[in-house]
Amino acid sequence: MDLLHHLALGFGQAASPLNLLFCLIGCLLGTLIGVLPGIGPIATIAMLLPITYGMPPVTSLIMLAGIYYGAQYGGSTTAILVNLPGEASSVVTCIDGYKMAQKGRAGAALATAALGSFFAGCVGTVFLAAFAPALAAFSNDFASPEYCSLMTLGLVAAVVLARGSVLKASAAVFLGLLLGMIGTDVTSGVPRYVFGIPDFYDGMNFLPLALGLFGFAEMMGNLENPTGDRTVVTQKITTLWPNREEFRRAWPAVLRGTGLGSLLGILPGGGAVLAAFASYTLEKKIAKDPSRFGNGAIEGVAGPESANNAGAQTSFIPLLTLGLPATPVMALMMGAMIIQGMAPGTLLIKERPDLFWGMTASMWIGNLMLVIINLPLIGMWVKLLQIPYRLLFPCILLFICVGVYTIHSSTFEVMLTAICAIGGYFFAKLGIEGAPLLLGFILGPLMEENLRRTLVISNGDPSVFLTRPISAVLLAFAVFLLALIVLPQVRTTREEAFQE
Amino acid sequence: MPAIRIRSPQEFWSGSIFGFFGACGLWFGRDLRIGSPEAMGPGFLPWMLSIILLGFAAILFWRSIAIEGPKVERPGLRSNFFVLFAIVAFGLTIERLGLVIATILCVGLASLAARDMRWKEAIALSLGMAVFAVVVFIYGLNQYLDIWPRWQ
Repeated sequence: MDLLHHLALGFGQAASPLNLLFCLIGCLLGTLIGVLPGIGPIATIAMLLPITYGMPPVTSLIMLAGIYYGAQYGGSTTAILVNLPGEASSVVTCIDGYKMAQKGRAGAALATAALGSFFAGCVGTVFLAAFAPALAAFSNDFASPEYCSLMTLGLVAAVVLARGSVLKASAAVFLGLLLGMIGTDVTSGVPRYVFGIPDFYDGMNFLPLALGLFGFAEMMGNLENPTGDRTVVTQKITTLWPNREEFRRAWPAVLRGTGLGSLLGILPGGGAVLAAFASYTLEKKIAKDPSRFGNGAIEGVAGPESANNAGAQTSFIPLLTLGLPATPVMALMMGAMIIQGMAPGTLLIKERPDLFWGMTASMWIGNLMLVIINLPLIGMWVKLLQIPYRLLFPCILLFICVGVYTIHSSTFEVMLTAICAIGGYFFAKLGIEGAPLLLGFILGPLMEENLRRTLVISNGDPSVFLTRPISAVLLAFAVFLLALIVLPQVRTTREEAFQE
Repeated sequence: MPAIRIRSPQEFWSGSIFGFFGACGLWFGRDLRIGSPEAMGPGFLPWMLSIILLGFAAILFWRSIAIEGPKVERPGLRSNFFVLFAIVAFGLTIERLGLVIATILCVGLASLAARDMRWKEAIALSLGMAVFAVVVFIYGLNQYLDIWPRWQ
């Protein structure tokens, strides 16, 4: 009855007025940025990170988590009504969701997305509650070789998941790792690549990089290619309920999407985006009549929307159990925990049960809030969509600048953000993905430390990575993933999935 | 002998970027001790990563002349200039001139980046955001920022 005891502790934490309030704020903000194309959870969380300094740890994490999974809900609204992905994880929802809206079934699509997400969110949360403590206990045996292999797996997964060229994504990982070397070397105390800049001695801050690569580069791209008028499907949404036929088709897809999303979310590098793509491919594969897909098949909304939410939920598992940020968003969550003086890792659940269980419980409450935020209040979000981008982006730009500046009151970091923005802008032009770079950057120092320790213990013999069973399995999995994209057949389906 | 022609500019420029970082990594890390696998020096990983980056650059260069690929779109000068100018202006003014002036400059300059910019709207937005920023960041979130310029 440990679990009940823990859940009681968690709900006790999550239901305090302050935490409820910030859970709601997080969910509202998440929905907002989810609905608005052109700003994603990475930029938002990075922007808000500095202001969480003053909050109690649990509260700040509850809010930041709410932004992430809230964005998954909001993203579907824009996808269905405007045919624009509000979030990367809603890209596939556009295909069938928008078609449904054109056919006058917008209400059904929105309801399916929201209820599917809610179901998936609940299951994902249970998953987190059930497996994270077990995984944390299991990973107590992890030593540096295992961490190295796990991080390698994460980086390989980030490459595999990157859109576009695998070659460029791999190079981006290495560039990220190299940038991660900036700062004082922990072992020898020698400064590396600091160029006499005081801000660099503790390593380059990752917020300027994240905000430059994701926030500003995206903004500059949007300004250059205006999407034109956003043609919101303006027909009245008469009923929010799917009809019987739609319901019959949707619920198995929700179940499959939830299962798939929960599993893929745990995978390093996975998260919500991969889950949604995989679920769409799966639904199309097993459908009796695949030609319905692309013409408003409700499974194409139900599956991916459930999957991305389940994935968003379970992608917290590697961070909370191993201290390993598997996606850029989780890296930011890790940043938030470090700001609060906590070390995410195998001991977190044991040492800070209030934090882990409080967060888990808040996710369930948050999902409930989101259904209410999204379904009855849908009209409000649609109104927001009509705010022109020319008014929106200067505000986003300002928030990012203030956010970056307030971290260390450093003018240099604001300038660094501008430089990273130039870099990110050209990367986007050249088809180089930012996510692998950022992940490499964050994992770089951790990886170096563990690699060094491993090789010191093994006397420079790299075979330890293969003779230790857990490490070997992780590496085998990484090789398997790499093989998948090299094999031509799988490559074409991957391209198809991303093209859709 | 046929002249070497760059057939996919995107690959070429990607290769140039990675190559540049690889070369910088080697050059600026030249004084770092490399050490050996069992006793890695501070330069071991930087050295290895730089070499790998140069390797990727070489592959990308090769692809750029071997494979036909898409062109690089022309960068839009106006939007990029004003977005960057807005960030830099904020960075340069926030410390000395305070949040109000920095915000007006930043939002005003950023507004100019949009093609469909309207003067009245941009002015109203920057003034409105200045008030909003003071309320939110200083009164709401207690950030340590000056509202007005420091005179000393």
